Amino acid sequence: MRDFYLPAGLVIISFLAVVALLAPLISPYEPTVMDNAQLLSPPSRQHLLGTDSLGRDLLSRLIWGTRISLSIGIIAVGISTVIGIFLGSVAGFYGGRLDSLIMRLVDIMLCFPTFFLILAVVSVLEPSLYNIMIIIGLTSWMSAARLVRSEILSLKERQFIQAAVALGASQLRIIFRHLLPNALAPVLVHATLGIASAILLESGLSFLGLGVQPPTPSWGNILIEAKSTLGVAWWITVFPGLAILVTILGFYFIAEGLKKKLG
Amino acid sequence: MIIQADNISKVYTLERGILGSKKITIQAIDKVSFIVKEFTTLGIVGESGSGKTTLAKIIARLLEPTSGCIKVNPVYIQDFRKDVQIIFQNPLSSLNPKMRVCDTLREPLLIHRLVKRNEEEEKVLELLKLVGLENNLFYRYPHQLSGGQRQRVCIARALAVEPKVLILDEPISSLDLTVQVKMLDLFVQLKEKLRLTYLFISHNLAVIKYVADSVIVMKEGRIVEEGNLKDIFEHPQETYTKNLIACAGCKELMK
Repeated sequence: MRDFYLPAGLVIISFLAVVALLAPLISPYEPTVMDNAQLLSPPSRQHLLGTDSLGRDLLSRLIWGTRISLSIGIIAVGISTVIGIFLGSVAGFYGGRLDSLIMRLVDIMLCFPTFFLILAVVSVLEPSLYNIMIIIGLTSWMSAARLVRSEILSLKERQFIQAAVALGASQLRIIFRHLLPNALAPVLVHATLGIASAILLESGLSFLGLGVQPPTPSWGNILIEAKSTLGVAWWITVFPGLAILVTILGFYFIAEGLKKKLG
Repeated sequence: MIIQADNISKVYTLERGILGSKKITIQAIDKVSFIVKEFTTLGIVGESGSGKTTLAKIIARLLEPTSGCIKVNPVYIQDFRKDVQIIFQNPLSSLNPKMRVCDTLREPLLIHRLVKRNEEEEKVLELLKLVGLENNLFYRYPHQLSGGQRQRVCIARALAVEPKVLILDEPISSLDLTVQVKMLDLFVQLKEKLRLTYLFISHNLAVIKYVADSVIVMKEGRIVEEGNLKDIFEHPQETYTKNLIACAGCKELMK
């Protein structure tokens, strides 16, 4: 069972990545084309996962939604990880006042309930795809910063850092060649989990109507449209829900596998 | 004189109690002065907790002394970070676990721009040979080396910048006995070959006797006795030094 997580996670996520990349080629219909003759039709040979209340093919919408959800997850985490690594290593390396300043900023950010902060910001700005990526990224860097800071603090005391100082290495060289490469493993695990929670966050936002706006399909906004027809059309709720579940599981498996592999 | 410690003290302050109300000060180094003569080995000996490692770090300018200063002779030492290098007790923690032997040895060459890019590999191989390592360790990571090999890599890294002074902080205590003797021979050999000055720190008098020209005996951060090797071993003045010399293990090794 030891080696089960990483390969399983990689299979799931690479499958989803391929689906996202090849969306225009593999989706059987256009995701926004409506078919008035096929409203709320259950899964059939013609529409493998059925259609929604406007007669749009659910499978095609899910395939295009994969693109949106994955890119939100990856870009948002990219932003938050870069910010986290930068602030965390500055705080850990320089210490003193700068450290206190950054860590108090982290405390303040952590005090806000992130979800409501995002809700507030999105209701002021327009909730476009890019805005959502950036906002999720800007509100989720704190744990990465804490993680990097604590790694740097313990690495800083190791003798190879002292040896590098004695050799006259510059601060930049010490940070980029000696500290960060040794601090990256836990950050990688953390980022993988971060992608999963960013996808979940986007689904939640879309469900409240403040995420990706229709007609662009995202897993979250397919779900909210399904809400009104839940009694008659179970497939519109179940399949996007399953897609979210499988994706999150995939990233969790990768994170778990990496954690074991990187110690 | 190549390097001189002038009245060095180091005090650590610990804050205890709620809001750091109780302050405890620990005098790690207490007004230590000495002179290291060029091309000689100064041995510093003392039990653990006597402030040897703190002193080594202060002399290497890795730690600021609370008072006092380190003076150098500008005839020999122009660029401190190049001309004075330090070797630590634990070679595993002294090597970056993510860097291969070749990367570790290339780094000092890059920092001080000592050789051209196309001559780097040659220089690294030369360094490996200098410390008695095989070429096939070139692409190894630190965890794939033995303790002795790791310490040799650390020595090679320090020698890459062609230093004048080497501070050796218990350089052989973490190695097993057979390797210890070989390492001591390597240090003696390198000193002759490269005209080095050593500051050799150890808790083991036998080791000091083997390598040093003059000796400083430390206890609780103070120098209790100093002099040349022969005087210290044949006519120790202080009871502490006598006790150190008289300890059973040492006696056997002395012969």
